Amino acid sequence: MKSKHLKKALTPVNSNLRKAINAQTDRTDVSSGLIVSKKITLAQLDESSNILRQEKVIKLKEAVTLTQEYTNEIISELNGINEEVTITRDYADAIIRTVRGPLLVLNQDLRIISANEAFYNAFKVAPNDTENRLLYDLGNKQWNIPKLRVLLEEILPEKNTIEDFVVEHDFKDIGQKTMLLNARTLQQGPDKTSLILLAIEDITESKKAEKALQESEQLFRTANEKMTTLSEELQTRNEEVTITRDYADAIIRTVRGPLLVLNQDLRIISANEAFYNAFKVAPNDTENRLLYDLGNKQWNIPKLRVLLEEILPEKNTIEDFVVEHDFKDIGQKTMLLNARTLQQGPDKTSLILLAIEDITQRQQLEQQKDEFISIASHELKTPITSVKAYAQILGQRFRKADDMKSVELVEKMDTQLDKLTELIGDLLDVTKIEAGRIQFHESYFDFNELVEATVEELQRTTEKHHIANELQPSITVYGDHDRLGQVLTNFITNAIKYSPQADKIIVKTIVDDDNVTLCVQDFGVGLAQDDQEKVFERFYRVGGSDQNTYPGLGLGLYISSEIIKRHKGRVWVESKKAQGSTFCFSLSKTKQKQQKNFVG
Amino acid sequence: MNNIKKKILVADDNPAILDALKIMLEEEGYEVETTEDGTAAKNMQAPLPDLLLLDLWMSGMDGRDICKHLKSAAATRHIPVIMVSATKNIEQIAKDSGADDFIAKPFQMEHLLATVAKYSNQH
Repeated sequence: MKSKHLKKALTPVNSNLRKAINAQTDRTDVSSGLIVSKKITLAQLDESSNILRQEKVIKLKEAVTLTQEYTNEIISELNGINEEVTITRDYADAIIRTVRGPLLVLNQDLRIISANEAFYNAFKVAPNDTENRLLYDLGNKQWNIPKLRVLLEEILPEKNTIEDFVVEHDFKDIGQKTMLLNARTLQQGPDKTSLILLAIEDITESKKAEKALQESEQLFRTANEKMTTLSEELQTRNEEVTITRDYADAIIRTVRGPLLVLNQDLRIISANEAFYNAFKVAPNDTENRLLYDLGNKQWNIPKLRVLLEEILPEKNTIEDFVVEHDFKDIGQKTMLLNARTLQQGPDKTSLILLAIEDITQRQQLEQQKDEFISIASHELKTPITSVKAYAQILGQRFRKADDMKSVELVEKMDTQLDKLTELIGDLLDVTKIEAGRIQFHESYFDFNELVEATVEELQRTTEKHHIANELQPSITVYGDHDRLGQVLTNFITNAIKYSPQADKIIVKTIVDDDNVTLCVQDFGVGLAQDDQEKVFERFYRVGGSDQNTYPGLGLGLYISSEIIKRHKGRVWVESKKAQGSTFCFSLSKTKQKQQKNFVG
Repeated sequence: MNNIKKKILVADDNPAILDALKIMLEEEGYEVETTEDGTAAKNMQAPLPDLLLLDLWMSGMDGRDICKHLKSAAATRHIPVIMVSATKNIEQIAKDSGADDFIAKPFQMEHLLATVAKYSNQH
C-alpha cells in the first residue's frame, strides 16, 4: 500500500527531471558552459525543492493512511466498548442479584432508588414501602438511627466512602441487630448525579469480620487502558463505561461473601479476596484451575457436582442450597450456595457466578439455641407435672369429702396448668419451625378416624358446645398423623374459645378428585376482613375491644399454617364479623402421592 | 384389688414428682417404692415390683438403657415398664426401648391410674 503511494508521488518528480534534462541538452549547443552550468545548478535547485515538496506529499499521504487506519481502529474499539458497557451492566446486575447481603442504592437526599431481595428479606419490608422513600422513614421510621444519620450526613459527604462501620440498633419488627455498613458515593451519568451505594451486613449472628472483597480488576483494567488512548469523541462512552464498571466494582468490593466466577467447564476465571480468605487458597492455585481440583481436590464434592452439572444448566439459578463438606484444611463446613449462569459477550459464552456463604458457625449457634429451648421446655414441664399431680390429688380428696366448690377450684387450676403446658409446646414448635427443624413422622392413616377421635376428645372439654361431624366417606392420607391432629385441635379449640355465645360447632370434610378438605365452622365473634388476612401470621392476635376477653399468644394458627404448608396443602379462613368463622385446610391427593414417591 | 397389695417402683429424679406419685398411688391402694437413682432401678433385686414407672431422663442415667437392660434380663423381663417423660416423642422412644407403654408429662391422674391398673393386673 505504501509503495503504491510512493510510486504515485514520484511520477511528477520523474517527468520534471526528464524535462530538465531535455532543456539542458537543447541549450548546451547555444550557451556557454558557464551559463549552462548556472542553469543546470538552478534547474537542479528547482528539482531538489520539488523533490522536497513531493516528500512532504508522501508523508502527508502516509499520515492520511495512518489516520484512516487509526479511525478504523477507533470504530472497532467503539464497538468493543459498546459491548463492554452492556456486558459490564449485565455483570453488575447479575452481581446484585446473586449478592446475598442487603444492598441499597440511595440518591443524594437519602431517598431509596433501589434495594435488592436480600434487603427486603432481611429487614422484612416490601418494595412498595421502600422505593422512593426516605431511608429514615422506612418501616415506621425504624431506620431513623442517630449513628446512621451521622455516617450518611457527615462522614460520607466528606470521605465518599464508609468502610466496615458497625451500627447496633433495636428494630421494632426484627429486634436487636448488629450491622456492618459499607457505603460509597458514586458519580453517575453525564450530569454527575451523586448516588450512594449502601451495603448492610447483618453480623448479629455471625460476627465473623471478613475483609472487604476485591474483585479481580483484570476484567476491567484492559478496557480502562484502551479507553485512555481514545479521542475526545469517545469520551462520553468512556465515562459511561467507567461509571458502570465502578458500579459493578463497588458492588463487588462492598460484598463480603466469597464469590467465584467460573466458565462453562467449571474453570475459575476469577475469585474475590473473601474466597481466598475463607477457604485458605492462594490466587495462583485458583485462577484457571478446575473448581474440583482446588486445594488437592478438596472441592470435589458430590453434591456440588450434581448442583453445578445437573441442576444449574437446567434452571440457570441455584438459590440457598446447603452443602456440607469436610475440608482437609479448614475442617467441616456448612455452605450456603447461590449461583447464576450469565451469557457474556457477543458469542454468548456462559459464565457462572457462584456465591458461597460459610454458615457453619451460624448453624452451630442455631443448633445450640434449639437444644437450649428443647431442654428449657422439658425443665419447665417438670414442676408443672408435680403441681398438676398435687392439684389432682387435692381434687380427689375434695371429691371424697363432697366439697364440690373446692373440686371446681382445683379443676380450674388444672385447666390453667394444661394451658401453660400447651404454651410451652407452642413455643418449642415455633422455635423448630423458625429453624426449619420441625420433624414430621409421616405415615398412611384414615383421615376420618383422626377427625372423629379428635372431635371426641375435644367434646369432653366443653359442655356448652356440641361439635357436629359432617364427614364424607373417608380416604387414606399420607402425612404426620399427630401434627395434622394438632391443626384440627387448634381449629376446634379456637372455635370453642371464640364462640362463647353459641352452642354449635360443625366439623366437615369434603373429598373431591384432587383434594381432601377439612373445615371447622363456628357461630361466634367472627373476624374483620383485615384480620382474616393476618390471622395466620406469627404472634398475630385479633385486636380491638375483644383483646382482653380472648387472650392468647397467637401462635396456634401460625403453627397450624406452617404444618399444612409443610404438607404442601392450603389453609384459609372465611368469616363475617359477628356471624362466625370457618377455618379450613386442604391436602392435595396428587401431591400426597408425589410426596409418598419422593419419601419412599 | 387382691388382698396382697401390688407393688409399684417409681424411678424419677424429681423429688416432687416422686412425692406426688407416691401419694396418688398409695391412695389408690398400691404399695409404692420410689428411687431417684437410675442405677437402683436398673439393678433391682427381689422382692421385685409388679410394675415400674420409669422416667426417661434420670440424672446420669438414660431411661432407655435401664428399660433395655431390664427387658433383656430373664429375671426382670416380665415386669411391665411404663415410660414417663416430658419429651415430645416419648411414644416412639418407649416403643424403641421395649417399654410396655408410655405416659407423657404432665399427665392426667385418671389416665395414669388406668394405665397402672391395666398393667399391674396382668399377672
